[in-house]
Amino acid sequence: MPTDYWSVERYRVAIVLGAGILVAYLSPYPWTVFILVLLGYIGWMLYKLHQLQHWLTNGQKPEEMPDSDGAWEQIAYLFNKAQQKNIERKRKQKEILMRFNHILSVLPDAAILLDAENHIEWANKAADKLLGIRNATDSGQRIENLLRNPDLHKLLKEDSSRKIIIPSPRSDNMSLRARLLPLQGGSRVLSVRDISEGIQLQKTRKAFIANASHELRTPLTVLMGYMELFENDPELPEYLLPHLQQSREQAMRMQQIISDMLALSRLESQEVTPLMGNKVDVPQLLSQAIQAISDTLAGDTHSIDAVIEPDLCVCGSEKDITSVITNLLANAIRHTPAGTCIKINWQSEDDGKACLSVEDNGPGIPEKHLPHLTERFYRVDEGRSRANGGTGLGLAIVKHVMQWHNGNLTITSQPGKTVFHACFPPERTLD
Amino acid sequence: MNTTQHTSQQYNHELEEARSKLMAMGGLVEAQVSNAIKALLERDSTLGEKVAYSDHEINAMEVFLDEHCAEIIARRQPAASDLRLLITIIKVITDLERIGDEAEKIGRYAVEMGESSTSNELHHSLRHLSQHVKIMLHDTLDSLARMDVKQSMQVVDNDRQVDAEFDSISRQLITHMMEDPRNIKDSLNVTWCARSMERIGDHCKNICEYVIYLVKGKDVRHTNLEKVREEILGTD
Repeated sequence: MPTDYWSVERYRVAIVLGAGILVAYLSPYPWTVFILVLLGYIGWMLYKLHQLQHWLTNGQKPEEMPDSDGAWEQIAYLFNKAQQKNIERKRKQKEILMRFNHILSVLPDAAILLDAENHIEWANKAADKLLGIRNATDSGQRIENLLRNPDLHKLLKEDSSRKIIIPSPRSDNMSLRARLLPLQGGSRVLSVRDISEGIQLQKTRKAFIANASHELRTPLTVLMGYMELFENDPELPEYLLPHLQQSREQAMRMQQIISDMLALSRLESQEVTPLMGNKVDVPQLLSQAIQAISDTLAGDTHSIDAVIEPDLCVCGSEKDITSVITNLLANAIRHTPAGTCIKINWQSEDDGKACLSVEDNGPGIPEKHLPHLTERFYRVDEGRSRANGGTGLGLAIVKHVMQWHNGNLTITSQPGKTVFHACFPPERTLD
Repeated sequence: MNTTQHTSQQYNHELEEARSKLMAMGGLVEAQVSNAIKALLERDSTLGEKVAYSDHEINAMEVFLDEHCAEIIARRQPAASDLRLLITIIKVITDLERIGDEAEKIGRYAVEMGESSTSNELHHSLRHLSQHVKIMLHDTLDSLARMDVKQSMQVVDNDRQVDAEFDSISRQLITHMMEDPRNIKDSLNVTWCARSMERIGDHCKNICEYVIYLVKGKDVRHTNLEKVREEILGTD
């Protein structure tokens, strides 16, 4: 209560003044005595001030708080209270900071704080485990000096947020994915994650698909060989022939699926690094494919209208580009009714891309199926497409081939106009 | 080593650039060596070829760094630790370039051996040595970046193990050749690879000795290791 403290103070002043006047009245030198009493009072006040100042400068220990009443006590008390609050706040902040540091340090991902010149400012514990960078000894070092992977240097120079995969400097079997996250004021965080397990898993999966497909192919070939033999056997009972023929057709389909799966797993296991490959004469491949179709049954049911730029070639893998062409054309014929007109277009676009578009005026594909068309074994119409043959992997292969060539595949469809548009990037185009 | 204490900001910058270029060169050499070893052990002749033909980058960096250091010495007339830094860089790049050459050689042998079918046994003997050398090179470059004398001493120490390992491989290969003279060609190839790795170890040792010179100002080449350790770590 401030009023209480001041009443003590007033009371004290009144006593001092009263006592001073009384003593001055009784003594022979009233003024001198009175001044002495006042000086005494001021001295006492200064002594209190000194005590307070001494206490404040010497760490404000609560047990050494100057012991007095009145305004002085209140001032000391307020100081003490503020300080206790401060200590408490600091303790809390420290606790939060420690908890935060603890959380950051137990995170499995390495995080390294870099300034604008790539000096390490801070690193968590995982950085030591994954990259061998210790916060205590390495802060202030340039990160390029410690992590000498040329890919990482490129990333740091580019300052982009793309992800790269680098081997760990600590162990050969560890693969790391690193990315730069920009912060305010030019500093960045290098975040590094251990992805060895995922890569291992992917490898195993791909190896499994490749091996399984391969192992399946051998027995199938034997089966088909014998079936062909039986079919040609003149002593074969008449009623068995259609069954045998059907079995052989199905076996052939299975073989097709397996070879598509092998092609897909090969495409997937290929490095994404875009090898330029050889010059591929697409116009010739196209005319061959069109000729092949015209020679078959489809030549009578579908009309084909081709516009081909004769000198437009691309760089890439001939085998894969052939499979793009055959898959797109086979799809256009397989999934449209008789009498459909198919337009094939091979030309360069304004932005330098070389594009193959296959357009038909068939019934179209319902919109909800469009995003799923390139998934493996996805069927728009279960019954029909299986009856027509086809493995369900064709478009998946097309998509992968285009991706591998840094190109893209877009599909648009409405009744009467379905377009598959496969574009190669300008740097692969040869005029 | 502190390179930020000069009045001239430009000077700081030049020294810093020399250092980071040196480490970038070290990174290239490290990548070359690990690719060469990978090509050799996994019989990847494409990778081997790549290693054999990308040595020129390292050579170009050596030339650049040599020139850069000479220019700093001529223009700034450095003294004390700056001078030691520049001298060290000039010496280290020579050794790094030689390591690059050895990696190139290993790459060439990898191409050759990828085509012939060397017995696995011979390859196995190289596996351990190559791991050892790879770690040694990595530690060398780390100690160079951190100016870590302790680690440098350790690498210098490790070189003896590499030498011993090389000796044991040679002995093994001689036995192999004596058993059947048809093995001689393959065994000789493996010997050359092992020899290259052993040379990489020696160059690492040299670089570490330069690091000690740079930090402590004491030349420890051709001296007794125990005495050096006592002197250097004793004064810490």
